[in-house]
Amino acid sequence: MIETTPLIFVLLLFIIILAAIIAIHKKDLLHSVILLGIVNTSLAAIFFILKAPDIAITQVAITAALETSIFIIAIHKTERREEA
Amino acid sequence: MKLVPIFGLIIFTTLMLYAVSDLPITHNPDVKQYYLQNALEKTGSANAVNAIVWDFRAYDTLGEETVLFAAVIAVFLIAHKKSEFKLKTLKKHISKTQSK
Amino acid sequence: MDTTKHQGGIHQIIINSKKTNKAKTKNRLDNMDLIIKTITRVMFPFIILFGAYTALHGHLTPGGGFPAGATIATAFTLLVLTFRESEVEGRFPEIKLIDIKSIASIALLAIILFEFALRDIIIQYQIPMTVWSGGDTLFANIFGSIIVATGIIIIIYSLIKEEWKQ
Repeated sequence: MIETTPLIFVLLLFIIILAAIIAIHKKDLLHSVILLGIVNTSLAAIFFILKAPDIAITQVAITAALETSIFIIAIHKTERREEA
Repeated sequence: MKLVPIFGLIIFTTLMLYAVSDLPITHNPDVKQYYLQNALEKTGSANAVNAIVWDFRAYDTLGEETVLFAAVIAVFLIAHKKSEFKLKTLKKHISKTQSK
Repeated sequence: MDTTKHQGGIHQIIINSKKTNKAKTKNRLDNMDLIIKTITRVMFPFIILFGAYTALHGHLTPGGGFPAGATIATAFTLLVLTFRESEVEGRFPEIKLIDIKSIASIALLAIILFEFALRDIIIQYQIPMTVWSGGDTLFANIFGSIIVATGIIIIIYSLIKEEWKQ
């Protein structure tokens, strides 16, 4: 398994973990939403590498596009900044 | 105060791992072979995943769509509670469709 | 009521970084940027095309009903987010969308319930490995994509519409 995994795969996993940790610690919620979009897009790329293209299409359409817009609408309804 | 969730997390993970280790192996390899060999022949679709989702396991997908329908109706009702959506528009729509 | 107040739409928060800035930027942001509007106009038919391709080719290539419907709904979400209320209002009558969704649901229910009988009849008239194949999964893909697309459009539009009314 290890010798067949390309370098991009490991890189994408690191990007996911890094972006998720930064998204938790950001006080600006819009930045967190954009970082979540990065997480979901990298996850879709991982699905594509693992030969599941239909799951990748669904992941991009639902979580990267629709979930982000729903979060933006929710932030617009409440407050953008998290109280420290 | 932070100790409580960490303690709970540890207990939860150990219990979950214990439960997973005791799960029986129920998957049937013959079913997988059957789906892969007969998907094109029986349903006519070359994509085996699609054949399973919409043909072999179509009742599950129907339930999924039912859940989506219920969610959409719930959001529609909640979102239009305070806004300008009134009974008048609904009555107008009903009378229009009935007159046709 | 101040007319400039609700013209800004959802994009105000992208540029309004602070609460105190709101009063200053209220009058500046009547419109979304021209670049975003133009790119939305250009990209919209292509996203719809990709969604239709995923629905109609779902039985030959990866895809199917659910990804196709989600892709089509993404295009409409872009449209709703970029354009103002006056430019979009009236294009999405929600009651009609619910009608379309209900009709597609009934069609899908009929297809799936009588699948055991329909499957063998339809396959006889179809050519294998072309678009006109796949038995009733072809029709199930089409109606399923319609259901998912209309459902997500209704959800997002009713959330945005309440935002516009404030």
